[in-house]
Amino acid sequence: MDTVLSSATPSATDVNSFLSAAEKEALKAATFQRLHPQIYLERFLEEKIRPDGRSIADDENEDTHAWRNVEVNVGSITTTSGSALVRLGNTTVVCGVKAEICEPELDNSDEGFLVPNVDLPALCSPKFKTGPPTEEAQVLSERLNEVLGNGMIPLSSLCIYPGKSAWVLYVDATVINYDGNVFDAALLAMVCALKNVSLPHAEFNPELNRTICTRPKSDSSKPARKLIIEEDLVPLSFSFGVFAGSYLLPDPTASEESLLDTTISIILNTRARILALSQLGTGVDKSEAPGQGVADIPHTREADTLARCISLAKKRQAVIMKKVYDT
Amino acid sequence: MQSVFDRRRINGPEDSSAPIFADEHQKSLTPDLYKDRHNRSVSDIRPIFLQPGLISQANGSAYIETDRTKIACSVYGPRQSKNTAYNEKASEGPTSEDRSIAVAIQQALLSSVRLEHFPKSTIDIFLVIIEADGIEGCVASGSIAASTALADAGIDMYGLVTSCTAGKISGLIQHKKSFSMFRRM
Repeated sequence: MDTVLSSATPSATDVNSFLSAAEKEALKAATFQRLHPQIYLERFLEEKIRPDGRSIADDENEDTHAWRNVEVNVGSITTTSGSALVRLGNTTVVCGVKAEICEPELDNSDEGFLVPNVDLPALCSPKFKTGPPTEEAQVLSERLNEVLGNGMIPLSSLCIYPGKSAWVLYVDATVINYDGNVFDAALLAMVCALKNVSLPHAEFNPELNRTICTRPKSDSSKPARKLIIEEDLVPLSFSFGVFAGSYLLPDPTASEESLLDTTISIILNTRARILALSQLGTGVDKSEAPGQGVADIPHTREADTLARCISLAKKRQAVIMKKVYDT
Repeated sequence: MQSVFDRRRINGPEDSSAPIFADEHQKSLTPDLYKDRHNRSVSDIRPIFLQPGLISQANGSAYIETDRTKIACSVYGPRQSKNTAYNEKASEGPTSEDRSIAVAIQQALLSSVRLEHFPKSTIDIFLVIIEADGIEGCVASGSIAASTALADAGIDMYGLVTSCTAGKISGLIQHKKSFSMFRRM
């Protein structure tokens, strides 16, 4: 008790005297996680649980708690044509769509443009610094561009006057809080933002060589319109991490992500049909024998893992569909 | 806007511009003060939503929303400084278009933080402006968010910083104005 009153600057032992037993345990655990992150995660997985409390999806019927909570909010940013905010657990991504007018390219004179980009600012995580887009941001933007450019928005629907005038949609996503699985969150934010877009009525005047738009609601004969969307090509992504070659972790958090050797993404459409598959990393342990970790998990072969990922993704897709179509 | 080709981003067409609306020239030139201010009196300010702790990855964070201004702020620190010379004056932020906002917010916060408790350390404050309703509004809301985020991070301070903008239209002083009103001044 004397230590509280005597010293002006608290020493390490004084700090401990302020903490309860539970807080001391928590501090020990946090220190262990910092020093030995791999072993920390292994200890959890051995008990069939993940550090944030979610269960491991080792039985297909019990996967409801393997994914984090999803929240979607659209249309709150008035300076954009369409916007969405998505929260996947703690991972938060905000996306805004800006519609501008441009001249189409010579060899695609009846097509507009879709330009997606993701920004990972220093604000969202201690591992990012201010400056030009990092490699991770560039890879994310490129992957999203591939997935969105697949035909969800037919570019011909963005044409205003062939050869002269077309819409360009700048779809910019900014990550506000980086807690893993940013690809899934950013894709969902972009899809919801695009669904929220309202384009004003645009007319190209060949004599003046200018495109004039009409403010929404100012003229009922020239109303604003929603984007034309190919519903069968609307992508939804479900990502999984593979830890130590044998544990399958759906929707990884930031602390898990840094320890993964492989990430598998399953992209489904609104009818739960597969649009794309991607695997980044060294792949699943192909041998039938248990991996170097304690492998109580039955399936460790590559094809089985992929099949499991697909079936888990399809189950999760039904839940996400309700969120996307109810907003 | 003329877009410079940036190989680090997905690029659109070389040149694009914001849509031009037919009724642009018809917009009223006389300020419609009452409509913009939603029945507020001259000395009222807009309702504020301020929530600390939303960004779990940061040491401290705050999110502020006032009508059409939405700003997220996070604080990382104290972190080790790159140059270890003891430096009482906080160093400058990143070069960007909105550096003026950053400088204004830094000046507002500087006197409130007890930097003498953090020698050889840097406290990084990052702001993302999600939606803006004028530069002045950004500075005001940003200062409040930054001060709250610093408190959320447990940084030693003398007190919290609050901020408000005010302007004069035709001799009347009004508080917390929106961008459209500034254009008409």
